[in-house]
Amino acid sequence: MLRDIGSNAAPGAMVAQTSCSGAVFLSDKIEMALRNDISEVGRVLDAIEAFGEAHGLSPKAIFRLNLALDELITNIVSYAFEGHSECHIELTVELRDGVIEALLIDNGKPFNPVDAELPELGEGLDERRIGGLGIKLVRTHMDRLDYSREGGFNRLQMHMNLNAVG
Amino acid sequence: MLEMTHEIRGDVLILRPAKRIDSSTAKSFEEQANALVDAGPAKVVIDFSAVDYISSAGLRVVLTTAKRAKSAGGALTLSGVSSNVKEVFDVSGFATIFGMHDTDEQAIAALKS
Repeated sequence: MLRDIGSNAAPGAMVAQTSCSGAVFLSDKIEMALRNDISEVGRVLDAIEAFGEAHGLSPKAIFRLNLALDELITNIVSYAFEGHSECHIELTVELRDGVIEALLIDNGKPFNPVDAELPELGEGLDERRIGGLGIKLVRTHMDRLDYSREGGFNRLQMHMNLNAVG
Repeated sequence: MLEMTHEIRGDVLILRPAKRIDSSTAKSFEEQANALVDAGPAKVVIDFSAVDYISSAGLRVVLTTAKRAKSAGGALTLSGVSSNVKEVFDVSGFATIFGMHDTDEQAIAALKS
C-alpha cells in the first residue's frame, strides 16, 4: 500500500507482511494500516509502548511519541474523512541511529499541521478552549515536522532525536 | 474503558483515573466523571497518581468536569500529577487554572480555603 502512494520507506517484502488490522514488528520498524476509528489510537499506543520497551526507549520518549501520534491520528479520524468512505491511514515508525522517524499518511482532506494557525487558548476556566491544543503539543514534542500533500495524500514526517529527550 | 475508582471524603469527591487517558478512553472518563459529579459532592479532586499518560482529549474532560463542578457550586483541583503528565498540563496552561498538589490532603485543604 505504501508503494502505491510513492513512499520510498519500505522494501516490498516488508509491506507484504502488513495486514489491515495488524502491526508488524520488524527489527527497528512498525508499520500499521489504521481504520478510521478512534479506538485505533489505543492500538497504536499499545504498539508504540511495546516497540519502545523492546528498543530501550526512555519512558519520556515513549510518552512524547505516543502523545504526538495520539493527537495527529485523533485529528485525522475526527476531521479528515467527513462523508467520505475510502479511508486510508497508514503509520510507519522507525528507529535509526538514535532518531525516531515516524510517517503518517492519510487520504483525507488536505491539512497541514505544521503551518496551521492555532487559535488562542483563552485564560480562565470559563474562557478556556481546547481546539488547537493537540497540534501545539505535537509541535512542542517533535524536533522536526515535514508536511507535504502528494497525489491526494497528506504525508506528515516526524523526527524525534532520542538523545535530546533524555 | 478507562479504569477509575473514586472516594467520597467528607464533602469532597476524589476521582482516581488510572493508566492512559487517551483519545480512545477519554469518553469513558468523561461519562464516569460526569455521573459522579452530578451525584455530588461538587468539590472535586482528581488524583492523577495512577495516571501515566494524558492527551488533549483527556485535558478537555478535566476542563468540562471542572466547569460542571463549578456550576454545581463546587470547584476542582488536581493531585499527584507525575512529571510526563505535568508537562502536558504545563504546555496547555492548565496547571495554573486548576492548581496542582502533591497529595490528596493538600488538594482537599486547597478546596476548603
